[in-house]
Amino acid sequence: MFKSYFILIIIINFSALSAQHHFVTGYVYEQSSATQTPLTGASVYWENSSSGTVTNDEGYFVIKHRSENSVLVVSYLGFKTIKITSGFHQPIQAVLVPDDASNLDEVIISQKRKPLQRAIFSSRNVTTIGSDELLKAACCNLSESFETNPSIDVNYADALTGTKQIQMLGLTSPYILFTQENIPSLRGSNQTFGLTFTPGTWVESIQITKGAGTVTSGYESISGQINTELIKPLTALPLFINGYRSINGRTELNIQSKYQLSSKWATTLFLHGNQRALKNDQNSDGFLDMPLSKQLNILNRWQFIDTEKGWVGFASLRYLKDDKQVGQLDFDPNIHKFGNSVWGGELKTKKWDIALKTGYVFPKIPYRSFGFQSAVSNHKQEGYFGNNTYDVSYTSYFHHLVYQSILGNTLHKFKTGLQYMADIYDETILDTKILRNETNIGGFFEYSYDSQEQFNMILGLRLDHHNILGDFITPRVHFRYALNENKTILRLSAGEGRRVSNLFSEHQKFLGSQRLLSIAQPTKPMYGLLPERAWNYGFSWIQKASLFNQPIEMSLDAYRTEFANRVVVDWETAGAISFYNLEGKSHAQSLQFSASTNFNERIDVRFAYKAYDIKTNYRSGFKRVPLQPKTRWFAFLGYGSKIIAGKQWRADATFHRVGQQRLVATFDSPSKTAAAFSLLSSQLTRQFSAKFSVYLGAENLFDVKQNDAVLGAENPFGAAFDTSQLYAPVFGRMLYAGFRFNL
Amino acid sequence: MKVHLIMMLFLTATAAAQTEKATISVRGNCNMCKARIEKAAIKTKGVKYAVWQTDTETLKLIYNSNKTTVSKVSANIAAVGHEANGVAVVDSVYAALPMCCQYADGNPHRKEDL
Repeated sequence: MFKSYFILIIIINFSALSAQHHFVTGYVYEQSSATQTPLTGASVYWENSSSGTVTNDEGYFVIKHRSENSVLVVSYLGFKTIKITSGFHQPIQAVLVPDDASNLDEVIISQKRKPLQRAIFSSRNVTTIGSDELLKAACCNLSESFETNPSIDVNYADALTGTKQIQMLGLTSPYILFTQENIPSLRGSNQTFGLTFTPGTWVESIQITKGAGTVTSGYESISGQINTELIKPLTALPLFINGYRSINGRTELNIQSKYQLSSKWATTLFLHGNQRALKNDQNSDGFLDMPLSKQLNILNRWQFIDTEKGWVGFASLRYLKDDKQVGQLDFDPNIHKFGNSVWGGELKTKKWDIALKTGYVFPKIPYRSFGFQSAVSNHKQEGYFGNNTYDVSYTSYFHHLVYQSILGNTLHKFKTGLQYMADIYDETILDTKILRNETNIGGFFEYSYDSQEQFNMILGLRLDHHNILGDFITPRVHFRYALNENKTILRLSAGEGRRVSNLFSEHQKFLGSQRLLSIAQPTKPMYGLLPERAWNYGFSWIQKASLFNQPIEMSLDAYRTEFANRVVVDWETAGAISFYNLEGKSHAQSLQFSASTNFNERIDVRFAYKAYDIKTNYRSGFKRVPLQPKTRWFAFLGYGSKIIAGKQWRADATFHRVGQQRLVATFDSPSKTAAAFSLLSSQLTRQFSAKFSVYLGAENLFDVKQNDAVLGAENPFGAAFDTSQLYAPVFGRMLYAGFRFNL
Repeated sequence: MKVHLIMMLFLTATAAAQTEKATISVRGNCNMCKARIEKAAIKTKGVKYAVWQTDTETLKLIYNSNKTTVSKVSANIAAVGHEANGVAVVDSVYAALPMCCQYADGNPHRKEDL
């Protein structure tokens, strides 16, 4: 008895001994001439075991060493793999040398960066979409660039124009400030279709700021800000060609070419054309599922940089012409325009803009700089939907001067400046002509503090003098607090925004119905309504952790927008549409949980769950805003194979689950709830070399279609006709293919 | 006109302060060193701007000479473990640096070894 206990004790002791381990630490870096660069994310693992880790931001690693582990492998994409067999009792230093055999090219370098990046050090809650991520939404313009990003929701605007509407924190695009290289770009009459006027291939990156934006860009942002950076001439490819074709008849062609005048000057010409000549009617309601369309879009950009003298500059010129035809399949504008036999409509847009940007950094005082931006644009739209006509000419002037420097030292920075804007509208709705001029001059001051430790903040204030809104102050604040060596990041933000609603431009979709318009004083300033004003409050928590030795990032975002005043769009009564000032409450609350991880830099996984509470006081009561899902689910899976001699396979799949939406009452039924539905899209890309790739993709693989997209389709001139209640795709499963070529 | 006045105000304000520039030698290896060196420098009262370059092991400084001196800044950098402008580092401080930042003899990243 005693003996057996003794043996047992020995066995226990022995097994404890064999399980003994210690930790091996080390540092992985690249040596080039005199400098050492730590390699982040290099794989470190024991050969023939499942135990492994990756190096941190400084190139460090710690790995458990068991007695059975004898060979330590260190590998990193583009470098020669090394094996270490001894010296584990001391810290390991692993120098990696580039692997010339794998024929490294630029493509690999861009693969190392995560294509969807949440800012870590910024006080604001910013997500950057890089060019790699933009490729995943192969088609075709800015409105379609957000599908793989959980921060942005995409809604359907109407059953006629095939336009998608961008939404953030439960509020649609007019409440988001869109800027192009920090110049407000989708304001005024550009709101509805403006996103479709920027081809995706022109875009270099997109920055999405959730919640209160910066005071330096204006007073209008309420739920967030989306900034688009276009491809810069000096870093552009000499030549880029992209062609695209889908089974619904959409053809797109993009040609971009660069001309370098000197090391300081370069220019790029961007040409874009798209066309859809094919008539589609998948839901057999006799109406085109998507418009017949034609677009020509030309942009010429110039860039100048003189780093020695400290000057930088951009100039751009753009012209756009876009024509759309909507309505019944048989509609021929030459015969049926303004008739009452066949229903249809046309929308013709012409737009030009000129923008200038200059910046000066004091060569001897690197923290001090001046920037000046100036932009003029004109947007002319002529159109009719059945017998409803709406024409608008919108001219906008924008001048912006900003000075940046420090207070004491570079931990305290500030930006201050002046901004002038003028917006001239000339609208004709039905037979009523409405003229409106808005001018605004504003001054702003933004202070940012960086403790270099855990705490950062930005305090912003602007004062504006507006000819209609009067004089007002816009405050915005952002705080960031980091814990656990930047593994936990907490952010708080609050800010006010206000804007003049552009009723007809923003709500053009109601022209595609027989709803009777009711508005008190259409020709008065702001259509006799009050300006919209809201506060946005936000909290965000980012947590980094590791799961199965892979880094995982989780985030929780909670935001609330509360309107002090809002122009209520009331279409609760069938056959009517009215606009009036908010009486009571209106709010949009959103909660988002998301997680993302990647395995060995090859597989990207993202997941998100979002819940929304969006309510407004209508004359008929406090209700959920129609066509707003209560919940949304999102999942993304991406894969990129190892690049060998420039060749690579890339594949991704995106899943969206759109929750129940409230529908407004129609002549046939009271207000009801639309069922939830799921969308799946996927894309496969073959990179044949660094210069040529082909892609193939599918959207809406589950073939979801809203069959009652056009209400009263049998009698479009009758009171029940309505194309504005669209909550799901009109067109079912869609396949497309395209190629990209560059020099 | 207004803008001009504002600009002039800024320029005069900065001209009144005794702003001086200096480039000093600071020993270090990596980006972790860079963060530590720059933080020690910028937290010194009177320093306006401090950027350390890894390849040349030099620190560019802009500072107010009424409030601080290069030797004060160097002492503060040496206090966190980096030899600055000839100011030596206390052994115990140096030994506490993370491995990649141990720039002196015996260190794996010592340039002569590579």
